[in-house]
Amino acid sequence: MKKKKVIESIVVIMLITVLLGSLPGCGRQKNDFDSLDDFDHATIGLLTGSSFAEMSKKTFPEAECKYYLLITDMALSLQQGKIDGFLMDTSFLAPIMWEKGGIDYIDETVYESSYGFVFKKGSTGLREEMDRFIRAKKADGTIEALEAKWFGEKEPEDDSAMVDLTSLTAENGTLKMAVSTSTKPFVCLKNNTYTGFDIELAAMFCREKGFGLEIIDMSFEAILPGIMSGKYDFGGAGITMTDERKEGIDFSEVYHIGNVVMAIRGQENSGGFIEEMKAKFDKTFIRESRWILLVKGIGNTVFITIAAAIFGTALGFGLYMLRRAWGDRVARIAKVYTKIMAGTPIVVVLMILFYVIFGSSGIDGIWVAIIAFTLTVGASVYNNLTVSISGVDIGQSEAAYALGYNKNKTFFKIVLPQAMHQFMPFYQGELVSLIKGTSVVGYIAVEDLTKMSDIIRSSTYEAFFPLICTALIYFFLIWLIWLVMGKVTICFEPEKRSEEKILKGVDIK
Amino acid sequence: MTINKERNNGTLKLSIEGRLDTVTAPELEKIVNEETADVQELVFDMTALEYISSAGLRVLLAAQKKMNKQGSMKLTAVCDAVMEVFEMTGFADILVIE
Amino acid sequence: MITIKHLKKEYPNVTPLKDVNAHINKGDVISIIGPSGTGKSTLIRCINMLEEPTSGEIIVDGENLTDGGCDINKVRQKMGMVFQSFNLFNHMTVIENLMAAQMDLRGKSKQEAYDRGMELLRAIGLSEKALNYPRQLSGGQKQRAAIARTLAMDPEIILFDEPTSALDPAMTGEVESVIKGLAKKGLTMLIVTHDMRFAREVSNRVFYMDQGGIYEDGTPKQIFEKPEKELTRKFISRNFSHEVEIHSHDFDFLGMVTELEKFGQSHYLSRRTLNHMQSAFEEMCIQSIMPHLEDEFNMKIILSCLAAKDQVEMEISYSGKSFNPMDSEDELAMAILKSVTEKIEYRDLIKEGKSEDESYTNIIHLTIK
Repeated sequence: MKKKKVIESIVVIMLITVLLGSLPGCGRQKNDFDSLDDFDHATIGLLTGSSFAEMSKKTFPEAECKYYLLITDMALSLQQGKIDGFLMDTSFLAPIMWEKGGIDYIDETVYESSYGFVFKKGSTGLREEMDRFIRAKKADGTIEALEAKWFGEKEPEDDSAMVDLTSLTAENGTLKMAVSTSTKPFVCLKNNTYTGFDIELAAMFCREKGFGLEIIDMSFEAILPGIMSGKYDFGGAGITMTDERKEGIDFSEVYHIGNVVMAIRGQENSGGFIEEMKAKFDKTFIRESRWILLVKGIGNTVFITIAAAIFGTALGFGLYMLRRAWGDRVARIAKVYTKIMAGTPIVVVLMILFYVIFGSSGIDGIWVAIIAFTLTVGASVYNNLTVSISGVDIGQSEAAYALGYNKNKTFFKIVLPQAMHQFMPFYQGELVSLIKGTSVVGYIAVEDLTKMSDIIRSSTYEAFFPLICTALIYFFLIWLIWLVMGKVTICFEPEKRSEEKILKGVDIK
Repeated sequence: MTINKERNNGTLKLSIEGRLDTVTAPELEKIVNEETADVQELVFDMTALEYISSAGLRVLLAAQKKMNKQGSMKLTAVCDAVMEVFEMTGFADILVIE
Repeated sequence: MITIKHLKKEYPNVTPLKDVNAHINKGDVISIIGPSGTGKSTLIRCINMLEEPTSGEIIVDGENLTDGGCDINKVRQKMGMVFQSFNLFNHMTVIENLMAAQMDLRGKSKQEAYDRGMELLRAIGLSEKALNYPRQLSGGQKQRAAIARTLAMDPEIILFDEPTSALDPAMTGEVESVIKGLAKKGLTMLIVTHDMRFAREVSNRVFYMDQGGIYEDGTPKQIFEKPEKELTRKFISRNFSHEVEIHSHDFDFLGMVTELEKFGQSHYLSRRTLNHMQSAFEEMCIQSIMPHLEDEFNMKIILSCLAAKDQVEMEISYSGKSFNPMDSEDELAMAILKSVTEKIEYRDLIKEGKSEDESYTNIIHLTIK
């Protein structure tokens, strides 16, 4: 009965979202913005942390601004009429054109931007080698050919687009390269392997110099802090040179100069609703076996959640037991710890652990995520255990003492069972917020479900299916938690026991 | 006070609950007057009667007089407090108490 | 059995026990009475070390509890405690409450614990509730179950900390009769109570506590009837009174009855005295006096009782012509009145020189049995 209801509600949610998904197409109005002068008072989109955002504000100081984290989202907003345009390099716009994503641009260069690899401030050897390499490749026309391939009007064919990293010999060691797959065509995933302009150029460099290449994907904003902390040898993700960035890191020689233009709504390829949906579905899941990304993402999300739940619960309980044994000293330390955890956003905790505390150690991001969430879960388990236990009437322990129970027996037989009753509903909520909380681990280059959905969106310029699918998967996972915890909670509800169980082994005369 | 009526052939059983005092006695009086015309046996179940005053005694007395003519009357399950009042007033000797 | 020497208990702001000395014999049933805040509960909580004494000695069966080496948990097993707020274990059924300590501390088998538990529940009439949870019981049932839980450990001593104070007055009786039953069986008991009538009925010794110690120690007869010391005398002869007024024939009769009931309960009058008081009020005021009064009248009833006595005085003053209600021809009312009172005195204030216009011209004084 209950399962049926859940399935029913999932179906209803699906239907509603599919209907809503078809709405944006209807709400689109005619594009009145076809010259740069029209944008003085328009609504324009800005990519958070990008150089384009700064230039947009300088060029159109009067315009209303909306901030986005992904180019995909900005392109989608533009199509839906939420913004009137955004400044973007034509090289970034190329893949959108490939997909005929309903975006056009005003063919008038607002300014030019230069691209380069990023290195830790003050680095010399590797950077200078890279500079010489780029100059040489510019001179022999290799870079020009790469530009034509990746920024052209057509998507490069599969065979030519694949970069084979496994054939790198690595006799001089392996370089760690920080990238972001949200920067297609500089970095993107094709058939679930990394490729793109930056990847291909970096691979050429490594091949020539005898390095191996390890690619670590993360959100764009995380690249520069990662480079500064020395976690990675260099970074490349269509990173434009700005004076501000140069203060914190060193750029290589410019490898590409792009034209920044104003993107505007264009004509969208039109087909029937069903065909369009089919095409979107195909692009999101089937093409290049992208569903594998989602499966991997689910795996990581579930792994982090389960590990953090187990360790965090153990930490919280352990801390409480220590406090019972050692008293106030532990309580004071625990108080500071829980206050810090409660007062710090999880993203910040993740970043501090990843870039500061484990900055130079080679520990995998997924373990840093598990540590961060263990700390968070531990703090709130401890806190709520404290509250639940102090919520048990003092008279209960006094009665136990008066019967002759010692301190430990009183705690485990009388107080704790009653506290658990209060504790469990909270604990269930904590696990649900844990699984939802893990969606930010993309900040430290862990490829969880949310991150994978971002990657798909960045390579397909398609928002609908990745987002809905992600939401449904999260919902399903949370529903599983409810299901399991519902069963577990019953164990802590003495009143749900049957009479047979209470009197098991007793002969009732 | 609440009164429950239970009729069985010629028997009427009145279960009185609460207090039978100046304020509530008229209610019982009304029932005794209106409902006992064809009754041969009148039974008062006093299980839940906690208190009785002279006003209540008068009603019982009137009922006894009436029932003397047409049948019988008895009281059952009288509690200590009420019994004490019956004894103070000599009602214990007049009424049939089981 | 229990010897208390120079027991002192200090809190940061207050010292409820300054110097307590007592010797309690096996089989003693001691009621501990006294004004609030004189450390009655603190004393019995110290005896089983729920409160740590600041200084002094408590010796139970030759074992000094205040000595660091003493295993207090062992001593507590033979010294039960019954709390004001019952403190039954909420996550267990009634029978499990009785079984838990037997199994956990006495090492009894589940079957043995169950049999003993059911035996005790049957004895206090709660066997039907064995599988109910505490929250499903009434206050009186909870307290009876709590007493049974204590008895399951076969204690030699039981400490009662205001066992009936949290109960609805209608339920104190059932708990009191269980405690009285225990007293007969020769258990050593200490009972903190505010209910003087109960104290008198159940105990063979009374501690009157005041000024940080046991101020007077004696038999109930001695303490309640001729206390030797001044504070005890004052406490025992405290007089409580309550005044009500009636001005019309349509007054709130039910409200008045409730008020009388409340007065009686808050001063621990017995049910019998309470009934007599109600009979007196109804037969005197309603049946005998009010029919003779004008439409508008003044009537004032003053109830008063002594702390330690199950007796009420009722003084009724009323307006109008001189009129002695005892001259009434209402035989029934007179018979009841005479039975429930010890003494009835009428005073005609007009005869005594007051004018007819004054608020109250007649006074009748009843001493209720």
